Amino acid sequence: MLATAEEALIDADTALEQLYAEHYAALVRLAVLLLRDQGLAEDVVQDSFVATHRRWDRIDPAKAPAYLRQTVVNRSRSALRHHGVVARHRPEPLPDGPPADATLLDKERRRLVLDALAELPPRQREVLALRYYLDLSEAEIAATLGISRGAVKSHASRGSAALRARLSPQEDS
Amino acid sequence: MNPNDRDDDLRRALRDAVSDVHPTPALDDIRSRTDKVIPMAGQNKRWFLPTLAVAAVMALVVGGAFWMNRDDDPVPGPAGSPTQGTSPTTSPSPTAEPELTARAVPVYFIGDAARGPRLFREFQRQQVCAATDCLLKAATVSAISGEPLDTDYRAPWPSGTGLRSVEYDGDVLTIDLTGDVHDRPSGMNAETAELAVQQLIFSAQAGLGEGRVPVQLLLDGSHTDEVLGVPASEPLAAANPDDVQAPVQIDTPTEGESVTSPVKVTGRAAVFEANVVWEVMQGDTVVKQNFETAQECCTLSPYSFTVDLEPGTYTLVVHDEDMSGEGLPVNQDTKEFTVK
Repeated sequence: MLATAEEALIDADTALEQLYAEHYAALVRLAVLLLRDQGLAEDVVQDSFVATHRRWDRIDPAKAPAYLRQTVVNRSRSALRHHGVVARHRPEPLPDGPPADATLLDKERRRLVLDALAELPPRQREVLALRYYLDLSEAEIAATLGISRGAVKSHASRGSAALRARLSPQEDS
Repeated sequence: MNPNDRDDDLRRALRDAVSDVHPTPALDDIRSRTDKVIPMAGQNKRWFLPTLAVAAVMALVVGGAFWMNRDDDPVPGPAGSPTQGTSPTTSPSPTAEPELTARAVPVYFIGDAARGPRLFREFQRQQVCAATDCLLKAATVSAISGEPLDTDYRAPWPSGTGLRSVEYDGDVLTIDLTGDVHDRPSGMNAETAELAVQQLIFSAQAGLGEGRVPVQLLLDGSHTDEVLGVPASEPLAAANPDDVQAPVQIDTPTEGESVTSPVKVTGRAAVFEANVVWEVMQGDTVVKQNFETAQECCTLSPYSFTVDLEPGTYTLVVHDEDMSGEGLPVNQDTKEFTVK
């Protein structure tokens, strides 16, 4: 006597649990690369899970990870527009205690990469994050961003060159 | 340096840049938000209201102010435009006035696992009001006075146990009980009493959806030194799920459910090498069998698989393997279901 909607509901709930287990942490890190702000990144990713759950009956389960990823990228872009978080002068919160030198160096190195990414145009930043962090193919990046593969190629090559130029002085030292 | 090496540099740099990002666990937060938006497939679907749900809803009246003002069909969920970028926090809330909708209420019961009694989770379809704390009330009431759908499970609380109120203040979840539950009833051993308290804690936490918050038990509105003979003066914590929950559990299909083929089976398992073994039986005949890998070894994690079945009534058995070769009892869960 139990209706189809129950199956749909439990399915969506279970799917959510599985998507969460597999993708939550990686998507938050992806969003940090795009937004440079972990709190906002977590909000964006959680919103994306809720949105995916809500539209579950319209999503092909096999494509759910791709849908979720696309939602995270799109929402990150809107979040940037609203919050302007990539703006460069956001102070980095200082650690509580005096950190070991190595820890400080690690933090500094990571901050430089996030800063350099933040200075790139949004499309280049998105292409680089999807390509080098999530290891997506050109076709997958094109589908995620809704642009042509040619455009992915040109954003990737310009973005890589720009990022490398910004990072190389520090890496040489 | 060839281009691939250079790419590897960027790959390393980006991975390193977020390697110290450790996201705050958020599954319970996400769940508590998705609970409020029920996808309703199809329209004009008349919900079957099981006797159990009526009992649970009636019992909720004990909890004080109540909302049972209509019994008509739930409205279909919001159409929800598929526009990207709309924040769910700005979408209109469907809770303008109390209204019953069919929701999957998470409730734990006690069943037998290889190492003794353990908790099993069931999703019970119940008519529940739409406000935030309704699922919490439904799960809490079902834990102390509901019945499991699966006859392999049992409800541990003495009959006559009732809920006066359940509230979450953002810090502690307070459950005010009524009934003869101060002492451990004769015929209930200490292990079952502990498990009953954990069953209530896990059910209420699942209904609340705020994670493993501390739970303060009250009796008839006052603090009490014991509940079922278990010390309860301080807020209680949920035990480690791997200690108190059954290592193999089936979420769907639910017991007695009527489903269509292919049948999607989902559940959680904490098993050696993450291997769960399953059989679909008709009487003593094995119709289909295989094994699946849960997402993680040795701690409760999701598994799922689908089975093609002809119309008929079946018993699904999901279990772990006896790695000792000594014929020890295995952990298993079973569900009887019908393929339409």
